[in-house]
Amino acid sequence: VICGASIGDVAAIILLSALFSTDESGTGARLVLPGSASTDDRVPCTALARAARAWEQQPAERLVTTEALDRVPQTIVRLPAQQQTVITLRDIEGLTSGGVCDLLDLTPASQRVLLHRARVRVRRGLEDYFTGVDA
Amino acid sequence: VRLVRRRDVACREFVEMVTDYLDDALTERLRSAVDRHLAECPGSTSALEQWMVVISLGRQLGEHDVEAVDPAVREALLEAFRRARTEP
Repeated sequence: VICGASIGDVAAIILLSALFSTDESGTGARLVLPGSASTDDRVPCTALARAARAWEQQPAERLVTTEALDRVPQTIVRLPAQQQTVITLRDIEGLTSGGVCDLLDLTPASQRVLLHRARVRVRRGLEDYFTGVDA
Repeated sequence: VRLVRRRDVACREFVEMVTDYLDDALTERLRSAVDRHLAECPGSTSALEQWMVVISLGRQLGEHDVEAVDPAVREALLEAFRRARTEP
């Protein structure tokens, strides 16, 4: 176990490893677009819809490797506890913004700040992956 | 509202707002400004796609077995959150 990790950190590592370890196919999973998922009806935006369509048109190039998928929990467990909790609830458990605010007693604005910082770090953790895809 | 004219500044502003944008939390005018910027900026559109990848990767992790999230583990995560909050 990682030195200096709190019980909460360890619990989160176990949680995230459990979530990740369920994909044993090793073939890489197909991207689930936010716009096409039934959970997402809060982004009625034309630019976003356009980006989503452009994406769907090239599924072969957009396969996500298990390596990229693996990097997400690896990054999340290193985040400060508040960011870690918010991104886990929002992006992994799929809670709504309102749901997370109620659960954690946060204002919508602070919730978004924490989520944004967390996603910045996850995105940075995936930079090699993005560079590879775009190259 | 218009994002600052200089392209690199506008792109940086966009990234700062992207979470609010995706949560549909921007004012109508600001959202229109972002839409206009995206319409003419391939770089920011590509950045938006990357943010969507980040989010969809999280979703994929969750979709595999959200039911398997142990309530005790979830509670530990919430407890870590509360502790971090009360620390100076």
